This record gives sequence, C-alpha cells and structure tokens, in this order.
Amino acid sequence: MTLVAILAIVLFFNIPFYNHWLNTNLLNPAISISSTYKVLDKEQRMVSRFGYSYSVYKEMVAVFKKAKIKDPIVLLPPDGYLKEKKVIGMLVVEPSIYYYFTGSKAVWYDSPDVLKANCAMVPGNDGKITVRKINNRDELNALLDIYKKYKLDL
Amino acid sequence: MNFLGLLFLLFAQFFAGRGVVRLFGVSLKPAALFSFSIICGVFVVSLVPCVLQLLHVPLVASNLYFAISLVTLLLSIPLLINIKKTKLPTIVLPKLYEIPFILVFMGLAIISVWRCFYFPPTPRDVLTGTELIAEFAAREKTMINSVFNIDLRLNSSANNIFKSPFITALQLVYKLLVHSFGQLWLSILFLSFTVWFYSLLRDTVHPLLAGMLMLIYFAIPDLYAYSYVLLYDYANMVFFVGGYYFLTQYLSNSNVRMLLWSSFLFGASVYIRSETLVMVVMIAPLIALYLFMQRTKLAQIALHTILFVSFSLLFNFILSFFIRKFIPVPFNLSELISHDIFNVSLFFEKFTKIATDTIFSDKGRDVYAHFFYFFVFVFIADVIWPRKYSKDARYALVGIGVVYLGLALLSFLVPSHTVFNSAKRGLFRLIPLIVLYMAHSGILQIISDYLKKKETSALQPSASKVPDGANTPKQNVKAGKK
Repeated sequence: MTLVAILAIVLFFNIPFYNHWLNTNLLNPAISISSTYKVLDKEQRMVSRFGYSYSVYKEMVAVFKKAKIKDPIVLLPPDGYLKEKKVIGMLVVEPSIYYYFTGSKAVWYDSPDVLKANCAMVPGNDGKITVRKINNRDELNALLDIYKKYKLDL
Repeated sequence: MNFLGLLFLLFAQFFAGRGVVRLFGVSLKPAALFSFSIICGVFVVSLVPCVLQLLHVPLVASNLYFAISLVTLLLSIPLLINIKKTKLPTIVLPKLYEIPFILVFMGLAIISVWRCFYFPPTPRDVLTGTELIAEFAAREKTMINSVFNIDLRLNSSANNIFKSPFITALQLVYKLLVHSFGQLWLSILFLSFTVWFYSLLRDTVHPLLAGMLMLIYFAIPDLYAYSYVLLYDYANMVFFVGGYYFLTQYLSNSNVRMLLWSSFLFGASVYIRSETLVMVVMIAPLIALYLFMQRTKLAQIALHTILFVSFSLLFNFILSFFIRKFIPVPFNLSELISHDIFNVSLFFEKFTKIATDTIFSDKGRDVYAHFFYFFVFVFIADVIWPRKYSKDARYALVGIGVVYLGLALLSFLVPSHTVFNSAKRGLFRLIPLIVLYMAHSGILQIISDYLKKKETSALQPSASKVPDGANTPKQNVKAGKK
C-alpha cells in the first residue's frame, strides 16, 4: 500500500500541468524559503514584494523630508505618460496605495483634492523619475493639462 | 515577530471557540472539535476590535490583550462547568501508507505558512480597503482614521472600504500582537480546515483514496495560493463548507442543535462575504423539503427554516451596523444592483459563462488545474456505473448546484460581481463540496470497500496470532464463527 501511495503521488506530479506547478511554484520558485529566511527585515520584504516602484515612493518621501516640505501632497502622473517617457519598471499606484506605502498623501489628476497638490512626480527626459515642488497654480495647471490627456488605470 | 502574542492568540482562539462549540451543545468528532474550536475562535477574536471601537476604547495591544482574555474567560465558563465531562481525544495514528501523502501535505503547508508570514498583504482589494484601514488603525488606535481623508477612488470599480471588517479586525489584532504584516490568522484557518477536511475524507473513504482526493484538492493553484494571499474567499469557504457539512448532519439526525450550529457557521460566512446570504436563502428550501418529506408539522417546518437563516440574517445585520458605524462615507447599495434585472437571458448567459469562461477555459485551467475534469470524470463514471447515490453524495450535489446557481445569480444581479474575477474565487466554496461528492460517489466507494477488504484480509493471519483477549469484538465474532 505504501508503494501504491508513493506511485500515485509520483504519477500525479507527472501530469504535465501539476509537474510544472510543483516545479515553478513550489520546488524552485523565484523567491524560495531558502533564499528568504535570512532576509527578515520588514522593508526588504516590502521591496521584494512590491518591487522598484515601492523603493521609489519611499525615496520620494525621504526627499520631501530632507527638503523640509510639510505635509507633501504629490501629484502622481498617469501610467501612460510614464510609458511614453520611457520610464521602465515604474508602476504608478493609486493614491490609497501610495498612502499605505508611505503614510503620505498623493492625488491623481481627477482626485477631489487635486488642487491641494504641492509636489509632483515627473518623468525626466532620460527615462528617470524626478520629484519637484509645485510653487503655484500655473505650474499645477500645466502638469494637469499634460496628464489629463492620458487614461487612468486602476 | 512576537511568539508569545501568537501563543496567546492560539490558546485564546482555541478556548473561546471550544466554548462556542460547547454552547451549541453539539457532539463533534475529535478532529472536527479541535479544528472548529480554532476556526470559531478566530471568528470570535475578529469581533473583539469592533466591539472596542464601538465603546470608543483605544485599539492598542494592551486593550486587545485584556478584551480577548475577558472574552475567552467568559466563553470558557461552559467548559469549566462541564469540565468533568471533558474527555481527552483518542489520537489515531496515520497508517504507514498515508505517510507519503502526509509528507507532501506538510511540505505544501509549510510553504504556505512561510509565504503568509513572510510577504506583506498584496491584493489591491485589501490594500485599498480593509488592510489599509487596519494598518492605520494600528498606528492611530482607531478604525475611523486618516484613511478616510484621502482619495479612496470611491465609485470606481470596487468600493473596497465597504467590505466586512472581518479582515480589518483580524489584521489589527495580529499586527499589534504578533507581526507587522498580520495575516497569520489565515494560516491558522487554513491548517485547521485542512486537518478537519482530511479527517472527514478519511472517515468517508479508504485513507489511500482520501490521500489522493486531498492531493487533487491541495494542487488547485488558486485555492492553494489563497491560503496565504490575504483575501476574504478562503475564510468564507471555510465557514460555508463547515456550515453545509453540518447541515447535512442535521438532515441525517434531525438534531436541532446541529441545525443551529450549521446556521452559526453560515452566519459567519455571511459576515465575511455578505453576498453569501443569497446562497443561504437558496439552501433554506432544502430544509423545508426534508422536513416536509418527514411529515413534520408546517409550524415546525417554518420554525426550523427560520432558525436556519436566523444567524445569517443576524450577522448580516451586524455587518451592516459595523459598516455604518466604522466607515464615515455614505454608501449607496442600489448603485451596485443591475438595472437590467428583467432581462432573464442575461442570467442564462452568466450561468453558461461561469462554465465556459471560468471553469473550462485556458484561464480556468491555470486557476483550478484539472480539478473540474476529475469531477466530471467521476460524475460521468458514476452515471454509467454503479449509479448509486448515497444521501451524502446527493447532498453534496445539491450544495454544488446551489453555489453554482448562486454565483450565476449574483453575477446577474450585481454587475461588479464579474464572472471571471468574482465568480472565480466564489467557486472556492464549491471545491470542498465536489471533493466530498467524489468521496461519496458510488465508484470511489466501491474501490474504497475493495481496498478495505484487501487490507483486512491481509491483516487477518497476523491477527489470529494475537492472544484472544487482545482481539477486537469483530475479530472475536469471526473467530467464534470459525
């Protein structure tokens, strides 16, 4: 009976789909137990889950703190705009997820509080992300005029 | 990670849940008693922060420790009163041939628990809703916190803040008492349910077949993934399937306590996902029909049917009350309901699409692997031969039908309940019922009987060498016949 049980398990995991599932998700996953059990720092785990974008958002908040900007409200660009500017690997999150990541507020161009935005995340010409202060309503409107051309995706 | 906090919660959940089971006065088998004590305890603990919030008590670790201890002590009173009646369970050791299966399950369970512990909550549904509220509740000591001052994208595709506080509360408790990502309560539910479900299958078919069925069940990619990915559906499935199983027990023994216990579990599943109420209401006629066939008086039929839906209605009311109290944003339910409810053809379209687009499609294969094909194979085999449908098999088929029909109805009534995304996870409720059906199917029962006979006959020669006094009554009878 024990041999039958072992044989049944082996045969089951020889079915191509289950074999693939076992190998790619469980036996050799991209992030395995053996590669993670030494990295227990909370921030590193957040980065490994949410990727490059998370690090950028955290860095942005650090920049605002360094620049002593009180209560920064960041205007986030639409994803389509970033893609057009060839920013690679950066995903724009919705304001609530930005708040979850950083504890700081952000808005999209259609957010109710968009006029309160005092900072902006903007793509540079070199495909890199920069942050800048919005000094007046004209600067804000100029950015909004660009962003409104793009659809917002959740 | 705070191991002492985890240990405290494990004990508190077990004893609080054990007290709840005792209050219902149902007699459960050891594995069911152990598992459902913990499962119920998790549910009880999920209510504690909500009550504290209502009382305007700051949601800090010390208050949670105190409140959970108090609730556990109160619920332990029925246990203390009947402490003399408490029997220690007899532990049945697995047979040698079960060990390969158990090792595979343990391996999969360890990976699941590790991922649940290691990774932060990820799905958008929780990051923009319950987990977001829980994270800031932990920081600001109240569920009504700064989250409601940001752009929550209300009126967009999903109003996630209006979902059940079940996850919010558990995340808050586990964040403050155990680990900053929370989540481990999901592993506790997963492990408890798995232990119960395996023991149930083992009682139904030969352990070798139980192991095979469990393996097919474990290897459903999405179901396995949701044992460590934070969402409502796994927890909802646990309570729903528990409720349905104990309802079938009531239908076998007419024990009203079992009916109330089942009603309670269904109520908990409604509290976790309110749309489950639709399915509970659809199940209610089954009770009425059963009692009618038993020639029960109409008044009693009505009473039992009302008792069955009572907890679901109660918890649905509590859920609405909590949402109104804790979410300081207006919510218009009517906006969610379809304006095309007289277009019945749309219902049939959804009914068909669940099968064609969700279950038997390329996407469906990635989600459920070959699970539904195994089911269809067993079902067709059963129709051809031996065409024997036990009561339990028929009840399981009814449950499968109700869940499927309920999901089609929900997709028809609520446009945001999409066929692929929402029904996909809604079908989790159906999976253990399918496994139960397969276990009770005529064909597997025949194989199971054959294996059991083989096993008994293989054991008999060695049994005859054992002194008479050590033989089981059955063996003694056989020896007497000889």
